[in-house]
Amino acid sequence: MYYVLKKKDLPKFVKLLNKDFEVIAPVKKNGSLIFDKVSSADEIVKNYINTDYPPKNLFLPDGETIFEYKKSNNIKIKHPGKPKKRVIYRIRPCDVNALLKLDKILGGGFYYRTKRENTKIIAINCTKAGENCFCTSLGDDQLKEGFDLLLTDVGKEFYIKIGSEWGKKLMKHKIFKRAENSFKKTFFECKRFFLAKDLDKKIERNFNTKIWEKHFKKCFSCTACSVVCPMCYCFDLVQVPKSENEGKVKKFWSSCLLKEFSRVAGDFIFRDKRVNRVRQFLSHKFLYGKKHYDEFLCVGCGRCISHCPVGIDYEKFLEEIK
Amino acid sequence: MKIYTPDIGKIKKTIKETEDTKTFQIELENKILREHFYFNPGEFVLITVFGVGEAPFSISSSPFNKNYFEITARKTGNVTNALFNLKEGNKIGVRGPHGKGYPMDEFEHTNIILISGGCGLAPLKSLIEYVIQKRGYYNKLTLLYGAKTPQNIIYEKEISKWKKIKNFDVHLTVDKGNKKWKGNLGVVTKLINKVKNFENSVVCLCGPPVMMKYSIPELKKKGVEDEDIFVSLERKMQCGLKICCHCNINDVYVCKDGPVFRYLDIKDLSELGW
Ligand SMILES: Cc1cc2nc3c(=O)[nH]c(=O)nc-3n(C[C@H](O)[C@H](O)[C@H](O)COP(=O)(O)OP(=O)(O)OC[C@H]3O[C@@H](n4cnc5c(N)ncnc54)[C@H](O)[C@@H]3O)c2cc1C
Ligand code: SF4
Ligand code: SF4
Repeated sequence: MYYVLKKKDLPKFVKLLNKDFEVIAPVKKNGSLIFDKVSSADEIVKNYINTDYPPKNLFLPDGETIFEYKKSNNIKIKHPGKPKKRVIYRIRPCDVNALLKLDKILGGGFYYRTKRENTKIIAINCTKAGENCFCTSLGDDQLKEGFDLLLTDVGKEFYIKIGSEWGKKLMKHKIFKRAENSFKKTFFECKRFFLAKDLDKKIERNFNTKIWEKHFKKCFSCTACSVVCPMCYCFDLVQVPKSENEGKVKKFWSSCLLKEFSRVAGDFIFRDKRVNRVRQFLSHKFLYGKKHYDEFLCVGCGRCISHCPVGIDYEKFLEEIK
Repeated sequence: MKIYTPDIGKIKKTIKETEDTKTFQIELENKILREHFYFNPGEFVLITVFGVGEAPFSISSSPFNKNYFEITARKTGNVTNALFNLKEGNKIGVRGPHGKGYPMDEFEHTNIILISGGCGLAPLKSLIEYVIQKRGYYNKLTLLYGAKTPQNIIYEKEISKWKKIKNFDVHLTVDKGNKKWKGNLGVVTKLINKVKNFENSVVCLCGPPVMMKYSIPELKKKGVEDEDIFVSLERKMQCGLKICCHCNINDVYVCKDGPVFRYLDIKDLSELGW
């Protein structure tokens, strides 16, 4: 059963959410559209295709504390508490699908899992594709699960699909009405398209060919693409001492595009060549991801393309590879 | 699960092996964990020096030893330098045992040939002690070990004990000798000719990549099959749990699928590098 929310009631909706939760929504900050805390509906940016940065930071904060330690005769270890209850409002289906895929990889860990459990998801369907979007090639424009509520913009109102008991309860509030009719959803396919089937096999087949050199020789390992990727999760564990006897261990984002990523003592670097690191980046997403988790570790959000300073276009590569 | 939090261990004893290498005897504080510290030779632990960092080390003691375990570390950088300066009684962090070691069951009733260089002897010491303790289950044991100079040989006390054990051949070599050195000179690969019988044998290699690169063709000449060769590989590691992605070689993850691999399974990996 669907519900309807009039757009003029949005401020009330956000207020309702704010009663019990920290509300996180798209806002403009320092020139970028990002997910951040809001206290009222008018702070929220509504006219956008997708945010510049994914909500990855909410689940895998860069530099999050894993534990604190204190040394004396013994070593005392303290863990961070559970995160606040939050709701992400206006997250796009591709980013929700990225979380569903990450669940398969990181779901066993305390830090990620507690953040996932404490975060409600109010997603919103896209009505338009961006220049660099290719989610439809991967099927990641659709949401079957992973949301508490899924909104569809139909002009003056939102149609709301329920995805959880919590969502169902929320619909009891008087601003929501039961939908009387079926409704029309905008249907679109991204302009960009490639055949996702057998992409893993294609990458494997081309692993030792010149195709990487051809497409990626301009890459200068700035890592922008992995920073903005909702699915890049590789990390380093780093000790951050406060004084001689106490400090923290923190988890920082890392990237396989960096030379240091594979460096071991004696300055031995296993992926010394830049193109080999791009090959690792794409193989992890489309070959090893498929093998180990039965998923492509990409949702087609296109952010990597938008952010690359030298115009490297991973999607074009995926179109071309045979 | 808080998978990145180490358990606390106490350094019971340190043994200076060479100028830059020390063995650490470590006792886990938690009695239950201590008693359930099961591993196969070849597996590793992640050791935290609080305030400095964490690094992987092979377990060098026998799995039958339930009170403590040992690692042997060579000074090469931040963590290893800091570890080197720790004293008996100091506390460190321990995660693991992690990874896949040697298939000791499969090795039963075969001859085991060990080839190693430098600190690569650490995981093999665990294997040797295991075999000594279960002597009846294994055939002949042969160790070929190379070091840079006589001063760089680790486990000297153990080696002199091993030399006296029946059905255990020990051959040492150094790149550069000194006045006192009367043994073999040259790289460890040269010692392969000392082994007379390669039938019904498995060969375990642990050492620098060049050692593997040059030893394997020699072994092939002697008729050793790829499936009977086991290599221990080293890659950068952070999590030790197949998550952080630092250690993969193509689609193989050294931390979980290894560090010990059957040569047959990895020889065609294009990112192997040798
Ligand atoms: C499975 C395995 C078993 C090992 N067993 C032993 C052993 O028994 N004895 C021994 O002396 N050494 C062993 N090493 C190598 C040892 O881990 C490195 O010497 C050590 O990490 C160097 O750390 P560092 O901080 O002193 O050096 P730095 O150069 O300062 O390194 C900084 C960080 O880089 C990473 N790093 C650097 N080198 C390596 C490396 N070779 N492997 C993985 N991560 C690395 C570590 O996270 C380290 O904290 C083993 C490595 C692996 C992967
Ligand atoms: S690889 Fe690019 S398109 Fe795919 S999820 Fe990451 S940023 Fe988005
Ligand atoms: S954003 Fe472009 S230049 Fe930077 S690492 Fe990615 S592909 Fe290379």
